[in-house]
Amino acid sequence: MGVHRCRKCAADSVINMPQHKLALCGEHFLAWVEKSTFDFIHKHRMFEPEDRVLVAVSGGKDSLSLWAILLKLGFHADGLYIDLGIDDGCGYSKRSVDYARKFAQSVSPAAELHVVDVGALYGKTVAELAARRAGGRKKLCSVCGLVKRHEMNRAARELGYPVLATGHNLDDEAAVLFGNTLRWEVEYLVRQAPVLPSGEHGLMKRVKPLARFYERETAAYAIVSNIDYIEEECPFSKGATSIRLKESLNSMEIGSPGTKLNFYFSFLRARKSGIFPGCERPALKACEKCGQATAIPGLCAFCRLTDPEIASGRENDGQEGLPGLENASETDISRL
Amino acid sequence: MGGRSAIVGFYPIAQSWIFLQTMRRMVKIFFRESEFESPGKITIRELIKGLGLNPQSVLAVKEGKLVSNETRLGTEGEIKLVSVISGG
Ligand code: SF4
Ligand SMILES: [Zn+2]
Ligand SMILES: [Zn+2]
Repeated sequence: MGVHRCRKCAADSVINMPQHKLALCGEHFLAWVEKSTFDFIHKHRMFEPEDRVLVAVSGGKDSLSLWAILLKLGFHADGLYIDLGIDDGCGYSKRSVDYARKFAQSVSPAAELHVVDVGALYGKTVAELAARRAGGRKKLCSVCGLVKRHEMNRAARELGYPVLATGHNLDDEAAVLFGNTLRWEVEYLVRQAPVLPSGEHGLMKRVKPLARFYERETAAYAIVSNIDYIEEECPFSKGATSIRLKESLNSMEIGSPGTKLNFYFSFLRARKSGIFPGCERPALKACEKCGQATAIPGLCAFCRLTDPEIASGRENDGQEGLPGLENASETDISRL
Repeated sequence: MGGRSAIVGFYPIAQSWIFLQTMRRMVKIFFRESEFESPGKITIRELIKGLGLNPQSVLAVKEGKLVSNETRLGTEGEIKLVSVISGG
């Protein structure tokens, strides 16, 4: 098999996407990703050109590519880095924020980076918060997801951004979908979408503009556009269920290209046509402490987690999270 | 005897010369913290599969540039394989 030629200009292709029967050179690949992102944003009414968008960045390929694409498309997009204090001997959070900062410098002054330091704000890193309860890594990721969602929402509210954008790609979405389907978690399935609408009590709109791209495409975008990103994974992601689910989907993809794409988009169509009736989002209340939206009366799951008095006592598994967003179970790969 | 030992003595040199030549004509593969060598002349897809990896899960970068899986390797140079699967 010879090198596939770019469909647009006949130069050597740098990527072949069998699910679209499309091979492209670097230049045309970047243009294709940008145009497709724009169309996806428009189709799902994610935000308008005048909206200020807050992009949750982790220093990884997806979120930095997303930030770059939105800026290239002319949107007013700023970055938000949540320092979770993940260390585990490798200084993961510290190194990740360096990548986010480096990228922010390259786009300054058109865009700025906001940094939220969880340890400095709440006196405990995510690992320390999770260490208070049994359950090991699974619990840690669940606590981490809860903290990220709470802090992203708080930052968007306080900084005046009507929309939060995350770098979830199609593999992330398909893996969550696969995991939830295997367990028939209908209440989570009904809420999985590229747009999570805003709600009462300051629940901000959350969008996933890259949800139509395979993970290798978001990585390819970062490589072709010379974005320096952290290649290592969070040390706590080793052995995660989400990775096993992705590998299973990728094995199927090799045999029949387009499996992941079909799985996700036919789910979205089925969901839209109402296959999950009667799964309304529960009515939201305001948390008595932080004022953010929660489905439970009293304190929200985040405030129960960070409250020193409650934390020193029993309870709270950190699973509740903000309604309208995905669950905080292990398959929630809503890493930033 | 002297002549023979000279020939015998020559073999290791010849062998290491040939060995060095083959060493030089190897493609160096970097993946995560590991380093491999390949004699090359295969496509990147074949290389990825040969390493037991899924072509969906890795991208190949040559001299800082992304190259497609259909690219055929020469007999030398360096290829970095980048894992694209992230999770947590
Ligand atoms: S793997 Fe993801 S969710 Fe788990 S601790 Fe790391 S960043 Fe948080
Ligand atoms: Zn081209
Ligand atoms: Zn609260």
